[in-house]
Amino acid sequence: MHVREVLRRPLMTEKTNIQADENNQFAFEVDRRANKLQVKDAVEASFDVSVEKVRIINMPARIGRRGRRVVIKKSAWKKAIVTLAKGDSISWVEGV
Amino acid sequence: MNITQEYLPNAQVALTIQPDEEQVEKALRKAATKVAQRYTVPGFRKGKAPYAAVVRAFGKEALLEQAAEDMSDQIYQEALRETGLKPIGQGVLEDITFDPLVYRLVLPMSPRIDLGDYRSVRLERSPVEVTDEEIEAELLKMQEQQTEWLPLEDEGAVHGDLLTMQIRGTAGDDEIIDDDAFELILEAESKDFPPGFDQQFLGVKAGEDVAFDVAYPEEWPSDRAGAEAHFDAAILSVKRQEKPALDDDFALLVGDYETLDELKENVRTGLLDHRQREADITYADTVLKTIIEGAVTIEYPPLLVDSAVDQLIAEQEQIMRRSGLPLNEYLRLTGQDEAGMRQRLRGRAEAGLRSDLTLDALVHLEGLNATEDEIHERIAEMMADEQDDNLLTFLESPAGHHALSHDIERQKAIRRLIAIGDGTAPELPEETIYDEAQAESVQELAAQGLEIPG
Repeated sequence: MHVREVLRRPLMTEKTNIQADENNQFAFEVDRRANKLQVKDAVEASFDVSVEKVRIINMPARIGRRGRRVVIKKSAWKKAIVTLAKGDSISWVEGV
Repeated sequence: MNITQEYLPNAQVALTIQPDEEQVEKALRKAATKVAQRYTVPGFRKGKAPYAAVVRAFGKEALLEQAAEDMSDQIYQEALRETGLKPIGQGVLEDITFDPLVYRLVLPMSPRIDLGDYRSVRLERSPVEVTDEEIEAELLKMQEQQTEWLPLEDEGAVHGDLLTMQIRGTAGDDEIIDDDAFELILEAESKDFPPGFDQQFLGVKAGEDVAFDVAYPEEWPSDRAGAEAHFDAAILSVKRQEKPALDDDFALLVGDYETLDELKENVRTGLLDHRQREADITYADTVLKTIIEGAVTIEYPPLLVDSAVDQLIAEQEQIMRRSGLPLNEYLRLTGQDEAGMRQRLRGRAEAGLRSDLTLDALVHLEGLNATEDEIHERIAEMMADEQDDNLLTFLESPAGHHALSHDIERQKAIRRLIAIGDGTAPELPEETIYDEAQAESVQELAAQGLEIPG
């Protein structure tokens, strides 16, 4: 898997904002096949920062029902919370 | 803040304003908070999204628009303070560009009026006259008013007499008339009755009975055409118009005049007075028009024309409402709309505005401002035969004083227009107010760094 395929999108929510401010941690949705090392490489390559720690969470699919049928509303995905070295940072928006 | 001014025609100033960057940045952040409070940004509760998230979600352009709108009031006030301009109405945002944020505003300024050498305007005055025929006509009118219907005792009715009768008329089963007090002025040819009807009453006296048959002619414009009609009438009274003779007695009757000649003289002076006043107004109007035509500049912002149109429409509306048909209803019935009406009234409004502005300028240039004494004199005059406390309170209030002084100044201006036109205007003092005003406005413009047109 290529480095560019690992990171899907940054996660911007209130929670990730707080994590970024307080712990220098940044969250991404990543490819379901990616492991911690691949995430680390991908983040370091994309944002020119050094990664201290990566935590991975497998997010379960959201499931609904239509009668007896089980329907998947949102597929399972993988979240990575990346802790950066002190002093490093990622800004999502240009010039902010 | 970076401001440039540009003088536009029609007494307007264009301001191009570029606010400082910090100012814009601050406004942007404020706008972001406002936007975040109104809309949810995914991942955040309402109002909790940070600036970066809002920019990501909505784009900087949208925020800039919001910020520009929020800032505009403050920017406008600051720009006015910084340039020292005093517009007579709200400025209009003509154009706005984002990134960098630049406003272009157009401000309506006070009208600029330079009447030029208006004092040299001279116009021929035609003298007013009253001819003997006109006096005669006036007397006849008075005679008409004094005419009375006098009952005749023993004389038979002739054309022009007034008959009162009890009358019943039928044509077969069809009832034509049944009236206990029918009034008829005898004419050679009646319009409502078949030919020959009136003739039947010639020579009748009060108290007589008349019965006769007449035939409706074939070409009579109703279904009675060709019918044979029978009328029974009992004459109640016969009256004849009695005109008073035009003699000394008549003079005493219409007023307290000794002789007819005295009355004639009075009619003549009355007519002359009336004519003179009319002629004065027309003459003043012509002089005013000539001055306006010869004026160097009469400039005013479109805003003033708009409000003049508004006023015309309001007047129209009031007239229409009094006549029981609201203006919008009238417009709907005649298939017009307000925009079209405004367009049509524009010419008239503009002409009125030019006259108003010129008169105002004249009051200023000629020093015709109303004095306190004149205002009080006018109030005393108005209250002389009036016991209205509300009116008095209004007249004594600042608004009342303003209205009165405007009125007085207008009258003085019109008198001065006449004097200018026939060359009897008093000399203005050596240092004419005209030059002062001119110098003042030029200096003012120069101080504002504006280009002085012309």
